[in-house]
Amino acid sequence: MPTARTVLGGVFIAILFIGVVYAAVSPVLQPISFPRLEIPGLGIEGEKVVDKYSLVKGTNVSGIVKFVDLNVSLKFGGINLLSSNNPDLACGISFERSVNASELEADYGESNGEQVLHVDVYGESGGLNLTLGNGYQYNGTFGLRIGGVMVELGQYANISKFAVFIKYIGGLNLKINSGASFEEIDLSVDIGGLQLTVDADSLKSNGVINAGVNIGGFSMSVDVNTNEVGVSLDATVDLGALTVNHADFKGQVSETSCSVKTINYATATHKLDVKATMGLGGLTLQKSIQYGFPGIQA
Amino acid sequence: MENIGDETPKKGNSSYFSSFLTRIGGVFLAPDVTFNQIIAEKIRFWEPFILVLLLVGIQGAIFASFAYRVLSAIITAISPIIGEAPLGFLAIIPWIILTLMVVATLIFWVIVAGIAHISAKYIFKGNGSFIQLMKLYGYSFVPCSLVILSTVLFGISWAAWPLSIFLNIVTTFWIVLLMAVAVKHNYGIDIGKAFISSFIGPMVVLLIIVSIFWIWIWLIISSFAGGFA
Repeated sequence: MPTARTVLGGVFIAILFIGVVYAAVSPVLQPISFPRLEIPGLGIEGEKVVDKYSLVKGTNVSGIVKFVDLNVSLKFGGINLLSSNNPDLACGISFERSVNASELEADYGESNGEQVLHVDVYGESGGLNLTLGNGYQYNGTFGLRIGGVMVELGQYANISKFAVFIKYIGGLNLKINSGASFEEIDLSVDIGGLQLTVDADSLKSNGVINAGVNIGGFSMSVDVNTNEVGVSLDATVDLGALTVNHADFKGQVSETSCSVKTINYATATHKLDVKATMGLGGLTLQKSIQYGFPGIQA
Repeated sequence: MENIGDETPKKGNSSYFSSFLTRIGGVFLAPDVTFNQIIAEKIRFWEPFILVLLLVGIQGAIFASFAYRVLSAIITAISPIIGEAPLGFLAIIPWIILTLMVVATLIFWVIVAGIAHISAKYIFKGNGSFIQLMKLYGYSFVPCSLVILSTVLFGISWAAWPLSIFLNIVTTFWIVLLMAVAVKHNYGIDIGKAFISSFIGPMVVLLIIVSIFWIWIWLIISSFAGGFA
């Protein structure tokens, strides 16, 4: 005959079993749902429209313009910046939005003896694609409140200074390919992630990148010909950790700061200096970025 | 407490599992006798260790499952703005919660037993081993099954929150009592000294740590505000 203690032990095991079953089935049988958040003007699955603008030499840009100054601001959505092999194109703009959302506001004008073309772009919500030509020198400020920014600089990029910032939450991805030319790029994210990919056998000029993330992560991957491109990283993390996992980099690394340079940095043809400051979060430097979570099947 | 003198399982005529169930039930009904029995039978450490892992693992799994449901709902609600979140990101959060809960409990187990050991052995001059106390403390977590039950009830119907709170309070007091009984039998000291070692001691240490933490925070805030001057 089972005693009272044995029965109670059995009840204990039964409670554990109920707990296991509940943990396993509750996400399926008792899903929690909140009302879907809708921002006025941002349709969920509504009809899309695309606003397109282009500034082309000889059409709406005078022939003496040499510099383009971009001022781009978007509230929600994405900004995608590319360079093209088109010497006449000053700026191509494509803005995909919900049919109910506000149109893109774009304005331009020439100044400084008509050598500088000023382009102002403002949008509420949507996806903004900007295409730059290779016949002009570009300066620009790109601001986004919530969303993602993707900038790819390749052999046709000819940048003096860019400032790219995400005011609240989002992700910023900068990719630098072979033959890119830029002097300074400032990147800033308040809450979110910043990813910098340098995949270049050569650069056309020395460049500086200043990156800052308040809360989130900064991941930098570098795959360069170290004889041609010297890369340095000076980084600090206020609260969090820093990891350097790259055989081409030498220097000082601690848990919260690092000052590292590629081998042959001093003799490299062109140099790329990255200064990163991180508030709360993690910073990594590696040769290539590993996507996903190994070993976890969703 | 019931008289369980005639219920002690005898070796050879009771399966191990039955003995285990009897020990668990005995912790609820007759902790004095059961703890003495555990000490006398020299139960190996892995049994209470697995018991604690089971309790905290299942409790953690329920919390992780709840967190997954809430996160999925939030992500679905705001997906029109931010898009769909990566599934891998959602899947990793419950694992982080589960791991943190298990690790935190194991650390808590060692620290609380360590403080009680120092107090009972060196302040109150009792006789007993730390490992033995760890074993008894492991069994003292058995009432955590009530927390599992209360969480499940709360999860099934949120209207069960008064019962859930009641069960959590009962569990807390029960565990404190069991820990005092464990220290009493392990070191052969009276229940008052055992209570001081098992509860007051860790509370004092916790108070000191919390005080140091807040003093540290205060110093940091003061330094941002221009120092003490």
